[in-house]
Amino acid sequence: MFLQILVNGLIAGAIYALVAAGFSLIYSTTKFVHFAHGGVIALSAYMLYLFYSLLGLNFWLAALLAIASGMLIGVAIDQLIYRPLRRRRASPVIILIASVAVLLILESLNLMFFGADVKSIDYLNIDSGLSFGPIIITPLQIFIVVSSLILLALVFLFMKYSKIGQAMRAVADNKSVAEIVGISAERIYAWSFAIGSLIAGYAAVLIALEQNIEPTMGTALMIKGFTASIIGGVESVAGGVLGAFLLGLAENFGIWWLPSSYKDAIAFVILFLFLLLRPEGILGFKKSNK
Amino acid sequence: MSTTTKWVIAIIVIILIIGGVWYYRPQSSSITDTGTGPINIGAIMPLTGEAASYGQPMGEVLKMAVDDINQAGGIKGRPLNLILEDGKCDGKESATVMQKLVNVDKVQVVVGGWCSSESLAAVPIAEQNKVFLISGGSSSPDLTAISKFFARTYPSDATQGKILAETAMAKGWKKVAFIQEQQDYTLGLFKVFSQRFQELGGQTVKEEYAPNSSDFKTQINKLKATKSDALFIDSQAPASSELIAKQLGELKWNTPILLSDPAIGDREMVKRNAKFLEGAIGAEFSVDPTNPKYQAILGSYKAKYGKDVVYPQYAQTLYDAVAIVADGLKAVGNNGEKLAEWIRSQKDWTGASGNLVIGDNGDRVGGHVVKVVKNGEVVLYK
Repeated sequence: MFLQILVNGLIAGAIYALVAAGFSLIYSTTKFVHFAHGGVIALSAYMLYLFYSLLGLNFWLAALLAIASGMLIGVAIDQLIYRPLRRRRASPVIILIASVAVLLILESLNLMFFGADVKSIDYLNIDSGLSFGPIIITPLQIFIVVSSLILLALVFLFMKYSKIGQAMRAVADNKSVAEIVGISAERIYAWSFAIGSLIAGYAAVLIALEQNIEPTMGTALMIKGFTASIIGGVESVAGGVLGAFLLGLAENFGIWWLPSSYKDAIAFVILFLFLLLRPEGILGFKKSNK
Repeated sequence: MSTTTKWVIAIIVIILIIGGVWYYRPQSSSITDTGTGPINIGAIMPLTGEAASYGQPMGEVLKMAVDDINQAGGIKGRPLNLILEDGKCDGKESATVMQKLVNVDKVQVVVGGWCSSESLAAVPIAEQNKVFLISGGSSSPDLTAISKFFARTYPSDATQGKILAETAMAKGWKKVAFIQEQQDYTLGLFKVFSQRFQELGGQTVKEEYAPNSSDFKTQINKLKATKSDALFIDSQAPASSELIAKQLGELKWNTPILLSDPAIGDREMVKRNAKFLEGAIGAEFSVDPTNPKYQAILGSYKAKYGKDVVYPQYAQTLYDAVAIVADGLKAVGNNGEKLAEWIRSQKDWTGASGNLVIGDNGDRVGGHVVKVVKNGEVVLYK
């Protein structure tokens, strides 16, 4: 049982990590909470449904188009909604409220165009998982866990070695100084949304295969993804992924002993403890108030 | 600004607030609307969230029922004006929209809520304001005899849980595991089932999950370890039943399954998951396909919306809730208190769901029948 619950926790953690990675990446440069990230995931999942199930395209092509639309939706939200707000020097709280509004609008659009019933993508027909001794896991779940780790490595390398990644880190560290040396913060914001939302599109494809698609899935995913980011350190992608795995494991091991009705309570107690005792997260560092 | 001015302003503001509260205080006196314009009737349905999978089509059935009444001349020449609000299958939301219907729209009758959690939250407000609340879908046993202002055209789960417990015992199952969504409806179903099952010498174990969950693997592992004879998927929305069934398959737990009525009622979902749900048992309020009024609502739904109604067993009771309210409005006028009394006095009212008799406790007389999934179709058990 221990090993199976460990695996269950890792699978849950990997899904949270896919959500948290893009969210943290966007937060680290722009410094505001983009709750609509969950909505981008949900809408991308519906795009997969549209291209694959409704239009009958090849699955891999449909998946690529869904990921591309995730990226486009994310950039569009930034350019059409957040950018005008930033120009008017709106505070991060105003942008946060706007992002919640965008999340609600995206969910309503899903409901309007695709209806309230659950959609499933019948590409993989998994009847039963693979047994490894006492552990049962499906190939898709193995793929989700492995690819979330590879994604983390790729984002890490991109941020460390690519020109844009370095510029993103510069803006994240100190926006004014970065602008003085000639980095356009607006351009970097657009890049952050493009890459963060690309990850959202990728997450959408895997989550649609694993959990089916419904209009309000974005909010549920965002709550867990946000919690994971706070636990791990909201300004770091690595922290977000680490927090996601910790959260997945804590929830599943928690309800092994506690009644399972406490599953969400476990997540929120951890969130609360971190906000209270270590608001900078596991990998975050305290900033001095110079 | 001097201190005196501040004080004067403060006092004026306080007087305005008290005056406003007094002016807009809830009207608790019973009023019969004697106007000539349209008659407002309220409705509460879960139009968003997971339960929207039946809330949306049922909203369409509501609109169709009201249109039918208006086309037939309305209530003595006055058309009905439906004000449909979203209760989100959530008590808090339902209480908010119920307040709005009562205080802003001044309705005397509300069709709703749909989810038991919606109705449980709306009943106190209905009672306080003497508004009649009639539900076409709430089935929690906690609603039985809750108020003289509440009635329902769908039977209580007291019968759903009871006959499922008896069927489970007859199948020789001694221990039934429950995976239960945290909702009033599902909890009510669990309570009735376990009580009856224990009386018969059986035993139940339970794990819960929050609404909108999508990962049930650890709950399933825990229940699998209890070595139960069957698993009851006690969900409020078919979305979670579908994922639980899928994850049962993934985790290789081949166990007999029992389903709650929103799940077995979703014929499309059952068909889609036929390989996991084959042989699953559930209970629902039955339909009589030979009833001409039942055939009529299926026909006009298809004509109006271009598709088959997904939950015919719910559509019939909801349609009847509106139809009997319309007859009540004709008989006693737009008055919540009189409507509530009138409906309890009807003994031979017949609608799409057959003969509809509401007992003094507000429950529909009659009950559920057991169904089973066979080759992806839901058929009568035995």
